[in-house]
Amino acid sequence: MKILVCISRVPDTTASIIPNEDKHSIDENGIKYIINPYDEYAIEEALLIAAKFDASITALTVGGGQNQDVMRTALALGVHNAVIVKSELKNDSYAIAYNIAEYAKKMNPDLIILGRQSVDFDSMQIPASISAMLDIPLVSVVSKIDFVDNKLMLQRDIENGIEVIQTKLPCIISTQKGLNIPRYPKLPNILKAKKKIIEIIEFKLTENKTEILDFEILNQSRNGTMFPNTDKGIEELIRVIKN
Amino acid sequence: MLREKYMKNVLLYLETEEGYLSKSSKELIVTASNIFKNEEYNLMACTINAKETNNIKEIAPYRIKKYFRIQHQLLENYSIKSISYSIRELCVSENIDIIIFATTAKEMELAPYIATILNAGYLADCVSLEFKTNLLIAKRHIYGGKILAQMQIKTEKQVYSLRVNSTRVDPTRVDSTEKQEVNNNINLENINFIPQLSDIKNDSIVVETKLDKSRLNISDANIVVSGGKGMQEANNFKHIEILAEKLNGAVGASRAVVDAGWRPQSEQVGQTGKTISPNIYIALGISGAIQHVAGISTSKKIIAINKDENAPIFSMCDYGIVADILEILPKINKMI
Repeated sequence: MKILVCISRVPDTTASIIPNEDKHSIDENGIKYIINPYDEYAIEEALLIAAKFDASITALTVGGGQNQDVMRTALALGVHNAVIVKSELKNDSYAIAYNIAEYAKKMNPDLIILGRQSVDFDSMQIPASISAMLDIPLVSVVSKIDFVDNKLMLQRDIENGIEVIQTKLPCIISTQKGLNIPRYPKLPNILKAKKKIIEIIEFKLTENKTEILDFEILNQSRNGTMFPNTDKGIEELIRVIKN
Repeated sequence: MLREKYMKNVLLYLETEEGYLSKSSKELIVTASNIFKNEEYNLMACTINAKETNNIKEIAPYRIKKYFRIQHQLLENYSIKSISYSIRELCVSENIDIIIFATTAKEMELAPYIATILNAGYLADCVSLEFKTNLLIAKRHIYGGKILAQMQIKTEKQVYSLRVNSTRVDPTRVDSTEKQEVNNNINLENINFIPQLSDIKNDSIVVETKLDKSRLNISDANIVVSGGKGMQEANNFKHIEILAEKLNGAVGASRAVVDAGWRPQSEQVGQTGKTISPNIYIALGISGAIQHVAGISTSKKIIAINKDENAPIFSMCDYGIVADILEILPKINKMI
């Protein structure tokens, strides 16, 4: 079995994000980069499946040379191969999906697994775009995976509950928080990973379909009217809630 | 000599639940009617295998000119591929330029799939869509809600998913100057559309749907009462459940509380939980970390109670009280 895990490198969620002068990008200085939290569930699930079914796992990311850090982490966790599709381009979800699909056409994985969205651009579009490009079924926001005979039974989240979906390989799964508990890489493996080879391949350009016009810091602040912690204050608060 | 303007056709995808328009679909109709007021835009709508009569009544008061009831046996069981190719057939036959979805779990997979097979640009989860002169500009929250991005689609065919606000769907919310014309929309064409879907096989099937109907879910509720680590222990959430019930609202939770196992993942609000947009969001014992606020920033009213007067939530709320949540909450429940 061949598994392709797609990983995105994103700013740590506590990082301070400031737009650059050009207003089309962010200032990367001083930002700590991590593996997209949702992709951690994808890596872990791939490792669990590989342990059961003798599968080989390839981790792939689209990005610049600095993406080596997240790929080394993936290798330290136990993926067998690491690939960087080298591109300085940022935030073009369609182009990223296209390059993943092109790689998948050559690799022919049985399973493609990735996080439901990346916490930088939050487009949630890559899994479905890949599904359309490869004509392989997608089950998204998956919180439980079971292999039953030759079939896959997947639990996915919807607004007010869950659905159980049956499908078969090859398929694409996008992972939801709670699917598993991602492991931490062990120090000996981290050291070994430093010496492993990461394959670098060329990025294929596609037409740019969307355009960024402006980035500004979102001012989340509101005019907080404070009420005192008295009966009168509580009444005021209730009044404001009920209106 | 009269010259015909080039009209653009906008299609609204209306999700249904058990055959009837969902709350988010109704909100999408109102929102889209307010965006596409320009006469150059024809607003249309479609549903998949919906029951007929009720849906028409809800669409008729707005600016929608055509309503397509897409029907096909292959669409009986939800399939991203079948729905997407059905809509593509409709788009080709009706010359649709723009398709708009609401931000719901299923639409977030349909929208990009359809955009890909139509070769259309796609912008997801837009918090607003507005015309600036003749250009359609979308605003999106990115980097966990820290940055507001203004973006536009460069291709002719365009797909958007919109974060619709949870408000009471009200015909008067459509611009009042147009209300008269809108109420007399007797020109709504109701059309059955049967796609061919040749060579399409469903490759995955929904074998079971488990809806938690006992609890109001946070994505749909008008009021969400949410608790954080300040609640001290899982048991204390019973006060929140009581308040939520009195207000006809849903119970939400911060990430810390879900990670601690006090509340289920389905209640988590925030960057790795759900992004919601209720009328009223009440944050109890929640400090207001940016990842949490990212999930509620488009809420109409945010109310916070926390015993720490320096909690970040207080600069991000509309109303607040500094108080020990375990002392004040029972009082509120008594007085409300």
